[in-house]
Amino acid sequence: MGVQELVGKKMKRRTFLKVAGATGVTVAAASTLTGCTVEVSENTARGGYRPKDEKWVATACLGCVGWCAKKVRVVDGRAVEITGNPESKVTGGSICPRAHLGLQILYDPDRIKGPMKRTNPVKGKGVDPGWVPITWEEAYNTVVGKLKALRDKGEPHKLMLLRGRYTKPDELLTYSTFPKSYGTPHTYTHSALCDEGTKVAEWMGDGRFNYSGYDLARTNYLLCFGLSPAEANRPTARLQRLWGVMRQEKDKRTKIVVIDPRMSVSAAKADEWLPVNPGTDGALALAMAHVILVNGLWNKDFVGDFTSGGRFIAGATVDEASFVEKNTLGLVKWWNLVLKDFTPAVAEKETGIPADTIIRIAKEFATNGPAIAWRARGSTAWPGGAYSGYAIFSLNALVGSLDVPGGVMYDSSIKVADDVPLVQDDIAKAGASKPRLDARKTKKFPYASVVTNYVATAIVNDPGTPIEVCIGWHNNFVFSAPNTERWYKAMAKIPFTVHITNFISEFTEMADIIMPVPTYLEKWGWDAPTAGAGFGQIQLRQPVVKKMFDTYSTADITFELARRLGGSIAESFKGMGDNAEGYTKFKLGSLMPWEELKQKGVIVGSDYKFNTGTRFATPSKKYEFFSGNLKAEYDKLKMTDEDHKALGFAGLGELKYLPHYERPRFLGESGKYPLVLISYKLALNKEGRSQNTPWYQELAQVMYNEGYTNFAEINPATAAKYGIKDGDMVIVESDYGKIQVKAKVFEGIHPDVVAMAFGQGHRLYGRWAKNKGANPNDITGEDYEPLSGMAAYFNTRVRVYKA
Amino acid sequence: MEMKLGMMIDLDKCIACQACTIACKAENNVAEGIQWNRVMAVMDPASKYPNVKVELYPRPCMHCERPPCLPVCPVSAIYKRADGIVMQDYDKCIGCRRCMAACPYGARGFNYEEPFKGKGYEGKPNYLNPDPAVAPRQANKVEKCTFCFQRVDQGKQPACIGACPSVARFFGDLEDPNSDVAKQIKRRKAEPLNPEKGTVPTVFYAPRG
Repeated sequence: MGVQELVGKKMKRRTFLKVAGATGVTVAAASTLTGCTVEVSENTARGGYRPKDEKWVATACLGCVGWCAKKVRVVDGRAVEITGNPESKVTGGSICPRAHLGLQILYDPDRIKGPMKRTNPVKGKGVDPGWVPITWEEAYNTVVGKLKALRDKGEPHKLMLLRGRYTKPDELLTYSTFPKSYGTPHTYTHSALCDEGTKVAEWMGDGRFNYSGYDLARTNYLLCFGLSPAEANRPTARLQRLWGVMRQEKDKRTKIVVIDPRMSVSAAKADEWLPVNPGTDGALALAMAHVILVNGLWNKDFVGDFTSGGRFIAGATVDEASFVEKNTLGLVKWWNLVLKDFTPAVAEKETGIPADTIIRIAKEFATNGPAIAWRARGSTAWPGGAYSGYAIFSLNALVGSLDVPGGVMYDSSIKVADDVPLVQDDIAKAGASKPRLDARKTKKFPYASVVTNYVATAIVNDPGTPIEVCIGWHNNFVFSAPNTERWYKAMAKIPFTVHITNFISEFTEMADIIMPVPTYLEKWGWDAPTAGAGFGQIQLRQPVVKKMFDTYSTADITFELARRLGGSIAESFKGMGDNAEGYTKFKLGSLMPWEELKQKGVIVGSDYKFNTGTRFATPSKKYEFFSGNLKAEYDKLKMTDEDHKALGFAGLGELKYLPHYERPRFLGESGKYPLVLISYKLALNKEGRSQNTPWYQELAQVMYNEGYTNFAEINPATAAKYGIKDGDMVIVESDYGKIQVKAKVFEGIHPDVVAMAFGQGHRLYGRWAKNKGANPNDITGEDYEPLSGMAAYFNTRVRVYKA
Repeated sequence: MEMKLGMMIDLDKCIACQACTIACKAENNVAEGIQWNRVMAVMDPASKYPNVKVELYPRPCMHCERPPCLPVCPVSAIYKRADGIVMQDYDKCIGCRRCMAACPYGARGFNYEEPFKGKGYEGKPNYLNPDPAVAPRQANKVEKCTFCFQRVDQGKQPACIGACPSVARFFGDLEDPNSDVAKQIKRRKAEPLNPEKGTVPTVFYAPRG
């Protein structure tokens, strides 16, 4: 992408040079220079090294759900350098910082080198399992024995599969074909620890249950509600590449505003930071919608208009018949029931953002289009977060930013070969139809596709043993889910657990058998990046070096388990290549010649076509400010206002289906716990899988120029109140426990919050990961965004005091 | 005209992700605890919540035209190549660290211990760059960014340039008005850090906005 000249733009010289000199950089005596002349030396080191055995291998990352294409330089059989793959249109050939960490993961001395079994029958947090090495034969015999026994007693539904990070072969085989052919409904991903509230928010408006894709390269105004796209949203490499484009590679520089109680790196690099009161993002979005309507700034071509010159006047009801909508539904209802009284002054009280700032931002947003309002877990992983997200997403509809250049995009994908037909015997059919543990799509979690964190609660609360065998892969729910203690209890209650993993994590500690896998640089598969690009793309994963240890990939293990279980299960896996490599060929072989694909590593789909108004999967086929999708689900479940209220919601009646404000609810008494604990993710977090790399540890907290720990980050005023100084060891305590960690006193933290980076606080995982900092999830309570089942991460109250 | 290598870092595009830091460590076998290309967060001292200004500067060696580190070295271990790269001769370096004290940018690091030894390492890691030009240094040696001279000599760009996901860094010949870096410096009115130190850096920073 070429850099374009900024014509006529006035460059404002900032004081940055002075600031650096004053506080950051060591200032030494410059007088040594006086009169010195520099001579060019002849003693010049030259680089001329040409390795004999060198190759570049195209493969894919596994650091986030971008699964970005990359190239690895292999010299004498060793992987020594990772770069982007220019064939990848999603990334434009870029890779993000965490991609490089793959080298240290591949050669990590703490990797598990072969299968193992537990010898200590006592299971618990901190209890040494007494691992001893075994053969794969013993591992398979043990696991298959347990799996056969369950089916023999007609209880295949006592098998549970837990999925953490994955790649396409394990998504299709291990997570889908295997449990269906075996006969269990208990398949739980980590998705509801990730960002499900964000998905349900868009679904309410336009019927698409996913993260949103955005045409950032052409947007002129970007509002980020509770996310840090420069650091931790996905596909990371794409978003980081596009940050550069937004700033200096388009005609009009994109203005970026970040709404977050903590100054993230994105907030520091943005044009404006709005430190909103925690959990009140929805109020800000609603007041913005109010301002846009009152000032007549909505997109009339997309939304529609009054038939005879009406206006939206604060506090005044509008007659529905006086306004004709084009591509939307329910605007006047939204105005009458929610927006007319949701003035900037009302929002100021909730959010702490001054009313005049709200008015200014709303006007800028509506008049500098194409503009994007982006939501993510910071604003949606709250009990009322689905409605906040719905309000935020609806701002895009108000200004006509749906499916237009510079706005929201709707992804497409590339079709791969179909699997062979699934075969289910009667045992499998009976088992698979049993109810799930997580209460998804019930009155408890009306539109959840998975409720990860509730699985532990269900197991703990069950008087019996609902799960007898558990197989987890690349997951660490005893660490990554809020209120970790429950997960230890749940896992201790499961008689037999298998962990498919690279490292001995906290979850592994609760397992009976370890089936070790190669790292993502040593195995086969493919992936398609998460929402973001519009067009489809496939990225091949192939081993860049010879598999290092006695390991098999999750897909290989799944094929082997199916073969050994036999019958209809084996039947469901036949003729698909028999292992991860063969399966990858089977699925992609018809899309591109195999050798060419191995060279290129990427298959790019056709360009995205913007197509306003035709992609809405709602009852009206329009964008709905009154959610017909949610109403249909509620009707199906026979959800009453009482049922809705039982979920903790205050807005009843028609409000249920409108973007409205639910005041954040908190866990813990404000008198005892005056602060709110929020957590966040760093650029070097490979989504919780990079803490055992020295590069992560050394560099993790870039805002503080520090590593080897995370912090309890607090505002100086808060610190003064509790007698805490920067660098003090402090206790952060909630109703759920306490942790000890170093304090960081920083002006960029909302005075009511304690912010902590997620990722540190491991007891296990490896020599570099363990015993560094603390895990905020240890003291976070169990709560949910009920519509999607997303775990609420940020509504636990805490107090902080010197250790 | 003699070539003068230089760099521009666009602070408006930079996202402080540290890809440069890590790619540099990988390319140059930089030991734990030393960053040739560190991202430094600097808060405006006038910051007061909610009006807070933090700038994040990736900081390579500035390859100054008048490098303050050079004349203070008692053993002449520091020299400047014809293309402007300020080099460190590790064989000569006696670890006195006068150059570190002389550098106003804190761009130099010191190996207090032998790199990749102890601290959990089991021998030299397999991922080290095999190029002998960047063989890990020894204890008691000072080291710093070399603009990846070993790559430059092969006609490649320094590792941090290609690794930057937001394309915020530009490298090339400052004397060639048609080079990317020269054009960007002009377009963005980029300036060096702390020009008042008089070291005449060849690394330029483009401001925000």
